[in-house]
Amino acid sequence: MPADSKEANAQMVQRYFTEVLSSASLDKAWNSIDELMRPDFVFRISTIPRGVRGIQAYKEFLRGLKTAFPDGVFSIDKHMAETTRAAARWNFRGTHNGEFLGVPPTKKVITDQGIDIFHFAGGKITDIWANEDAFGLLKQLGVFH
Amino acid sequence: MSLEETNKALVRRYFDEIMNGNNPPAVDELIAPDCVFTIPTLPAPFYGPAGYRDLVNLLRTAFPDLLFKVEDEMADGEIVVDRWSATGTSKGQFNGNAPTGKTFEIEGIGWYRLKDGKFVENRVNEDTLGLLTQIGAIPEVGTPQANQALAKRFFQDFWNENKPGAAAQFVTGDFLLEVPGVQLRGPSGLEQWGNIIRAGLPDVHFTVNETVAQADSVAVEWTAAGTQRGELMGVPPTNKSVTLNAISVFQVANGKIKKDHSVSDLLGMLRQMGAVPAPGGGSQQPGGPVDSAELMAEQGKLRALVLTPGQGDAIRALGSTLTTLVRGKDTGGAWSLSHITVPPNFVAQAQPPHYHTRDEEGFYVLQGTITFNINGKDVRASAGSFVKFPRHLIHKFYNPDATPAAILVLGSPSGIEDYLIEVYQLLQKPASPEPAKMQAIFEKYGQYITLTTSTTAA
Repeated sequence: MPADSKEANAQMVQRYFTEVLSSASLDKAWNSIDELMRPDFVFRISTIPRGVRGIQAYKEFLRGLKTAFPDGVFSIDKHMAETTRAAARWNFRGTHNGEFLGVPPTKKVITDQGIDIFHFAGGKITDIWANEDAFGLLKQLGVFH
Repeated sequence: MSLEETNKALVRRYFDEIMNGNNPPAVDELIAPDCVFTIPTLPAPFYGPAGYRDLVNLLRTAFPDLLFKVEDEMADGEIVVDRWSATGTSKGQFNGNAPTGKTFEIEGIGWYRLKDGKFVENRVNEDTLGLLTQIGAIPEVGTPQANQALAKRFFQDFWNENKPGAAAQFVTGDFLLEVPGVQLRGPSGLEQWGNIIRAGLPDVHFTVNETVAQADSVAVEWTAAGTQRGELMGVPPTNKSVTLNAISVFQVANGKIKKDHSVSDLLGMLRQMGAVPAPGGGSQQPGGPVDSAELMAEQGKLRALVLTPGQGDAIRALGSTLTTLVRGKDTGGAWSLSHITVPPNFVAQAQPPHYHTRDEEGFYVLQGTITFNINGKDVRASAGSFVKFPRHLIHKFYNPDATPAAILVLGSPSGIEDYLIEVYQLLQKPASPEPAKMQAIFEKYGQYITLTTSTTAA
């Protein structure tokens, strides 16, 4: 399967959600990050205004997410791909066991959904734009009513 | 042109003609009759061309200058995904929020499925939190301004309106309430505190006078006013109107109060209830000038205290005579005055170094010389001298000289005169006094004997 093909990109998206975001082991997730992402990879999400820049910063972001939702699992609802781009609609479910967006743990099981766009170059992910329902999530955590 | 390129072009038309409002009739051409549009920001899905007309009307009423711009696009078969940015100004109602005139700039991602040149399924995620925050529909979480707004809503919803569930809404699960003498935890602790206050002051109303915020802390200066119809602070109902001034410092964590540390003028409130005498006499209010008719009418009710030489209750013990001249009952608790004769070589009999926690003490030397030991240092005070001790300053007095001495002891507020009376009564008894009884008297009047005089007591 040649790099930068639709199929290769779709497979990397699949690996990103299972091996990186849904992995129970941070070590395994970090290995996959090293394989899948370019070192200067940028992750953009509205709750982090300047984005998460570089693999190391992304690993710390993931550690925070895993601390907030240790049992959190992402599942792909739908996906599509081009030769340099891909996108996935996803669902998330996890127990709020650690501080998240400044909210102390509530032990609530929350769900979220979003769409991520991926850019690829040289067989690696160079950028992700994530857009999810942070407002709905904070409502579930009791911040808004 | 490939299907993907055709569909991408349709998405660009969709934004230009429908969403940016440049050709509204295009909804009939581009939107399939069974099209479903969903977005977390708005509650119900929008169906078909009619749904889209409603959607566009809703958005352009709220944000007449709404402008979408496609930032990135991709297509795969019948699917098109794009990332867009949008700007606009809040000029009309949106999601039940009044217009604020504020502008916003957010991003979103759309996922569109097209069939035969028409949109059939449109799913959009956008930065709802950013949109509502920027237009001021919801407070920006975590900013000092947001925390100030939270504190004000807390006083309104929890204290003034007593909304059901308000405690859990405003405070964290591990919330800590700290007021002097009280420490309560969690929303249930807050509710308990609310019940205590409302039992005493059922009509209590809080007014926020000022808020100051920095980082995750908010300080609130407030006044509570109510009628004491129930027991409060151990005081039975007085039906008096009382006000309480206080400052609360809240620690806020993402939209919830984590800690409430409040200090208030409880003494002032107890005085208003009449449970504690006011400084300067009884329940009299500190007033402005009294008009002369009122003053004259008062004259008949006022009594001077006149003591002729030898008058006043005298008790003799250890060769010293205590004469009580003015007691608390004569001054509304404000002050007292006692006369003490101190025989020559009155050293071993003198009270050891001590300090007072409740009252200040003043000594005027009438005769002879009294030696005051002030925090370990002797000061000789001959007739005509005056010495005043603040609370907590360690002191004692004695007469090592061969001449008798006499002093006037002023205490404020009153209490020292009763203390002296009880001590002299105990010392009068022939048997040497039991230390435990003496200790009980000291404690009753808030006095503490010290073993060391090296420092001022805290």
